Amino acid sequence: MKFKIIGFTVLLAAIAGSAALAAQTSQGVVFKPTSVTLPAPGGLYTGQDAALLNSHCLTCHSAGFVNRQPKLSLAAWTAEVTKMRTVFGASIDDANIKMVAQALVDRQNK
Amino acid sequence: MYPEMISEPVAGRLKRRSLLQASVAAGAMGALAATAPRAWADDATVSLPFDNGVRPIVAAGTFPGKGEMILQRTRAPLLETPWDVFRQHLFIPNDRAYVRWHMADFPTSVDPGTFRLKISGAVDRPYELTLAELVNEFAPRKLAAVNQCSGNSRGHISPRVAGAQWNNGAMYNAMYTGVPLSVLLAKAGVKPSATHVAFRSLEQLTPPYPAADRFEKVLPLGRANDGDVMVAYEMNGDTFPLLNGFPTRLVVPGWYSTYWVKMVHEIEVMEHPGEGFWMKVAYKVPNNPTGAMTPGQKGVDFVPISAMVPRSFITSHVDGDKIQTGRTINAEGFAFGGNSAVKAVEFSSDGGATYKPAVLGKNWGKYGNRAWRVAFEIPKAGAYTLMVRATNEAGQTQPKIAAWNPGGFMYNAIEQINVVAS
Repeated sequence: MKFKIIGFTVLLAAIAGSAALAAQTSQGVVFKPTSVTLPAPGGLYTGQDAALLNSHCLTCHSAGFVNRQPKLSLAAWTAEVTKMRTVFGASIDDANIKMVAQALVDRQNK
Repeated sequence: MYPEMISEPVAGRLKRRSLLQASVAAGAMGALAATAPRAWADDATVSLPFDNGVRPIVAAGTFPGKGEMILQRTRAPLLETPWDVFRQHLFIPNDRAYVRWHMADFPTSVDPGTFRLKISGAVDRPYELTLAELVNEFAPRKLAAVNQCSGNSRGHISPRVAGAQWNNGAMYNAMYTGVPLSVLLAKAGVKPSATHVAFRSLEQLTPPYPAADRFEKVLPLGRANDGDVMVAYEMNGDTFPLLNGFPTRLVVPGWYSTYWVKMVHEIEVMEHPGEGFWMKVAYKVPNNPTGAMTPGQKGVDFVPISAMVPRSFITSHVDGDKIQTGRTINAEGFAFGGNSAVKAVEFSSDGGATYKPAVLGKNWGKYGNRAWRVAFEIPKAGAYTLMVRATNEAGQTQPKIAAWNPGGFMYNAIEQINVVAS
């Protein structure tokens, strides 16, 4: 196994600003405390029915995945939106499922 | 030629070497397409080769620990590896490996000092390990393996289905370092009544994401204990990027990535296959080796997805390339066998009418990528279709048309590149 030599000052720099200490091992593997910030480019729906979709869909996921679907039938979109409630816990009632599914079909057909 | 055909991939060195190699190769390739990396503007897009295939390209550093990637979804992140990366690397650099999270409740901070790997359930001696103990107390195993999303290439499936609309970039080959799960389970002493092993991540189970559908994946005990499945803590000689599962990732070589649980920290030996959504409902395929059925077919027996099928790719050429007649041309690429080793790779320059065997590159192990090369010549001008197909040791050969199932899983049709000879 490759042995990595981590200089003392380098290690100090890696953990500076964090209360957590890097976990060092005799094998030379160093697990640095890791903290990241996630971006949000293009997260919102725009265009037709954007307000409706932003109010119902953005709690759990950004818009891109939905916009990038192939053309799907009303039945297929209804199944997808219903799954958001039954599996992923979205608080969306039957009337709104119908509205959101129809909006998604309309956006693809415009 | 891939730089990794000469030496083992090592963190840091891999990136510098490959950039050098790519520029040398681009200069030496003459009539072949240049492979030099392209620079993208902030609003750059790529057009994937299927309907509604335009995707943003996000610049290096947009997502933590990741280079330039194809944006499939911002939250929870879905990032695809641009095809150029596969043309340059047999082992994909950590910052270019694709990213796929179902839910956005994974932690954005991980403290390696307090992290524990827990082994419990139907065992005689449940225990916990710190990261230092995981690394220091067990002999490390290295394994080359392809991690491939179950739905890789879903955008090519016909008829189209809902889901992540990937081109071919939801896969990556890497050299993993870790501890075989069989060793970790032996230390705990698996009870004779045990049948399955469940794996859970650091997922935080915070609203709105329902705790009942936490991302739990389950392996049959025989697979979990086969000596190849392992808890990895390094990928290509460096720790994992957070988005690829820092600090520990389950490696299930030969099986689709849905089982490769990121940030794995709970391993529970069970006496049943589990009841969770991610095993009982999601990621299910028709009960046959290729996951095939016809659209609308009734009475299909669905089972959890498992073994990968073979795939192969051409990296020396891309669609629309112009090639010269009457001279020897090298076609190159890579292949993987899926759940068994690559047995053969065959190449066709006449649209599949005839195939000739390829020479295979260094064997990094049965689960990893294998480079291939074929010399061919086009006698007269015209349009030609280059094709490549792999056969694995289990006897599976790539089909001309991919199997279809409603999840859009297990795509592995023979790849085709259209070129013009003059």
